[in-house]
Amino acid sequence: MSTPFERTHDLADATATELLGLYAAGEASPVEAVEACLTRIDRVEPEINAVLTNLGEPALEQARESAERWAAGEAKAFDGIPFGLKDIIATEGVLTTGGSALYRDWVPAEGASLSDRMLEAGGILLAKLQTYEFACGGSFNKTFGIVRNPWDTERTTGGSSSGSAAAVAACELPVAIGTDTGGSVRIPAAWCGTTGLMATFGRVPRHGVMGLSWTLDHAGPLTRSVADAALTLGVIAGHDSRDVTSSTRPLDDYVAACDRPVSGLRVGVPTNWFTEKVHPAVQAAFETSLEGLEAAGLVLVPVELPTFDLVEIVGWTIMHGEMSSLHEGALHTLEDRDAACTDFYAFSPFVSASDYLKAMRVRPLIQRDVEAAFADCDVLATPGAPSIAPLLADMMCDVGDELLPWLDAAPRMTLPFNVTGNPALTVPAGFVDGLPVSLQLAGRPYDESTILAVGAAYERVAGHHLALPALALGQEPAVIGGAS
Amino acid sequence: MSDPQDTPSIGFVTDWAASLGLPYSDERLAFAQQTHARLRPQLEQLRAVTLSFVEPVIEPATGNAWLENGGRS
Repeated sequence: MSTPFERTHDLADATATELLGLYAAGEASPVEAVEACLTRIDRVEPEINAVLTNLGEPALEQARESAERWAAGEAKAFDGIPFGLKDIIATEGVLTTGGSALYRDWVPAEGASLSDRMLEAGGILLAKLQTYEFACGGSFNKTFGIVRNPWDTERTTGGSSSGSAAAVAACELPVAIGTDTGGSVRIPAAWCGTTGLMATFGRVPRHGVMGLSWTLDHAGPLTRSVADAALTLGVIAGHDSRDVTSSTRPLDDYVAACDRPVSGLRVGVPTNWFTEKVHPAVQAAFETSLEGLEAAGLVLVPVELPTFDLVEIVGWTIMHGEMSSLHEGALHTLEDRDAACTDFYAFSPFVSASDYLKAMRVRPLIQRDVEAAFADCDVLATPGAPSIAPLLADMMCDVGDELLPWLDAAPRMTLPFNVTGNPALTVPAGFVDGLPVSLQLAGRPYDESTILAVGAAYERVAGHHLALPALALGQEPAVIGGAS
Repeated sequence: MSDPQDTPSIGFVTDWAASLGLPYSDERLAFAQQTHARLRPQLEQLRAVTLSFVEPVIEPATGNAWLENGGRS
């Protein structure tokens, strides 16, 4: 396997795909990779606070075992890749807190489907990572502190997969798994300049993942390249009978999909909803990314999504209704949680059954809207987030002519595809005021391969995924100004 | 359009919480009421959508079937 990675770089900066190439060529070992990641964690962790549980010692032992498999020619698909898990994902024998004091000491007896699959494929669990409390709180985790954006530590990562995005962006590890109920993989990926993938609802089993909203929850990877997202999806996807919503559909070869030709594919560019509350500079960056897609041979076509003015209320009503049910046993202890989590849960018991069911029944209408759009295109393209990452001090998104609370702004781009269940991928698409912005690509159900192919083609044209924050590089950060 | 008077009052939300046995603080009750008020226009829009009585819609089965069918109705 060829690799463009130069050994003059810190091995912590390598992607998973690059690491596999280096291992195969005998130019690096999993032990060296884990040691490099641990050194990086030691250096940057005081600045970003992404790691909840550092598993350095067992990881080094796993790395030695992996090195033996590589030497014996018995390496598996993910062998020797250090990875991290959002701490709502259960790990056998390893602390799993949910980001909450309520589970501060919980050590599961059984791992989640996806974490077991990553380990069985040779992956090395290096860290359990920060999360907004139960995937729905805020940046200020009452129990475990604030996670800071590696591009500007005065700003949020977004969430709820806060530690996953920060850890990957700062090159503490090449792959992390997050979860996404309204954008919790893709929003922090967008704001931290990483790749984030939410596969089709049902593609990745959720057994062992703490739930927020069972019809909207997804799990997926955050990485520093589309190829790594594809590699990871191939490891974690596939039916598991312990999750009745997981699909029995066969998997594609997602890594190979990244090299599929994309010339002539049609990109639907929505003319409504996704354009309405976006900062002009972010919109301009999005339009530049569309030019990049055209440069890769894709054809842009306008599409309209008439029912999308219902998509927010449908999504929030479903989410609140289901979270109230899932967490009903803990609603009496709200004041023990962080402020944002408390507020989120405070409202949830007041969603009526009729409103919840109406939202569920309107959902297929929105799906049909997306179906009509896909009659004329192969992927949909939108900004990954409507603004750059907000300051931690106010958590307000500047969308141009108004400041909006981040939860009123950011999910506008992402929540629609949780509601419909379509797969969606965010890829870095440049910078505004020195902070990352992102391109989101949504696909037909179970057609992750096409969005991966288009995302990889865009990467080859644009190259924004190669940029690393000064913090990762051990440099002084640039002074960042302008709009929040 | 929504009438602000249609939004549940703080007294109604307080009684509702009590009926559910939820010992919410005044601050939490106020937040819940404010969230109701903020979402009210969208909620009314949702409630106004007309759905067929005879079409077989058993959610989330219909939504999941659409996905399993590759995005075709």
